[in-house]
Amino acid sequence: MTYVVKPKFHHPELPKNELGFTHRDYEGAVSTLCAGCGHDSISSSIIEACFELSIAPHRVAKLSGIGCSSKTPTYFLGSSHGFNSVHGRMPSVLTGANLANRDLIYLGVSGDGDSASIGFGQFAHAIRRGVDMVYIVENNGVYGLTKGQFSATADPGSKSKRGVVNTDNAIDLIGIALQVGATFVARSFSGDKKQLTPLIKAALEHRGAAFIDVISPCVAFNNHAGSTKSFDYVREHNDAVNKLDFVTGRDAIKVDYAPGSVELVQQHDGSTIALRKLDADYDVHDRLAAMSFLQHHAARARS
Amino acid sequence: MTGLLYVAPEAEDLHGHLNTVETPLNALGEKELCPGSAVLDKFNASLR
Repeated sequence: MTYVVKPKFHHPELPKNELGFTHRDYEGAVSTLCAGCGHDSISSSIIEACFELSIAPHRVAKLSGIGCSSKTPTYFLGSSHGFNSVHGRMPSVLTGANLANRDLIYLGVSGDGDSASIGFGQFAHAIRRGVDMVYIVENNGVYGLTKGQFSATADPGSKSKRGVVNTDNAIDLIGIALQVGATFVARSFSGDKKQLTPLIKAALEHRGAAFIDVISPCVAFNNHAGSTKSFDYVREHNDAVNKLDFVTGRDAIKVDYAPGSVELVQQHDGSTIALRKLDADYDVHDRLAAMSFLQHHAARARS
Repeated sequence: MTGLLYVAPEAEDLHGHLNTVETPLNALGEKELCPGSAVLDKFNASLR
């Protein structure tokens, strides 16, 4: 029933944030994506992150390109500024908007087709310039709007819904982002809200180019056996290097993890990212090591 | 692999690199954006 307008009324005792807004004030229109689409979970995490950070909706500018992922800004932050740009051109529109008005919080939402194919150059240049933004790629490995052809992030060897094996190599947007100088780089899974929401919060408070690659299964065209971006495959192979907690500079929340397992990363605005290390040797400050680590694991997955 | 893979907590952004003013450019008035021919002459002279 996606044509139904979402009712405005809500329970009078819904929790409010510091600004007096409820969760509902950060929502958008009813989603027209397929039921179960990973993208809707990402929208939900964005809503939760903005609510918890008490960001005034009118201070956010959400920009996107073309594709299923780029439709999603309609489904969150309905009171924010929005710009649905040309295919793959979100990064340059965002850069221009950011230069004209640095007071807004910029959230770029894109997909694997939008950022790894037609907008690949735009993606790389916005990141290398250090535009202050959160750049989220909702990565499902296929072109969902045109019936599920492989995108540039589809892994070699993965199978399409019709059984065709992908023979092209994949573009790893995380690797590219690291190489061109992103100062906040993370990968998550749309089915892991506990991991994704703190990552989005930390990225929103980060100054500089923050990039999050979110594996987001396409339930219509890439959620079958043989796919490397299906819910089952990602759940089985999801290996987290750390778990996050996020503490804003304004709050006096204490982290309750056991000493020795937590690394606190202080950001410029006083906010703190608490990292609970799951991989003891992983160092989030070492860019070269991060690149090597990813290459090592990509090679291991292929062998 | 998922999680926070890299962070540079003290990173600068594009405005820092370009040394732009704190006030958003769209909030500046004509006086600031067009400071006059004398300032332009001075700027041109600095490039010679």
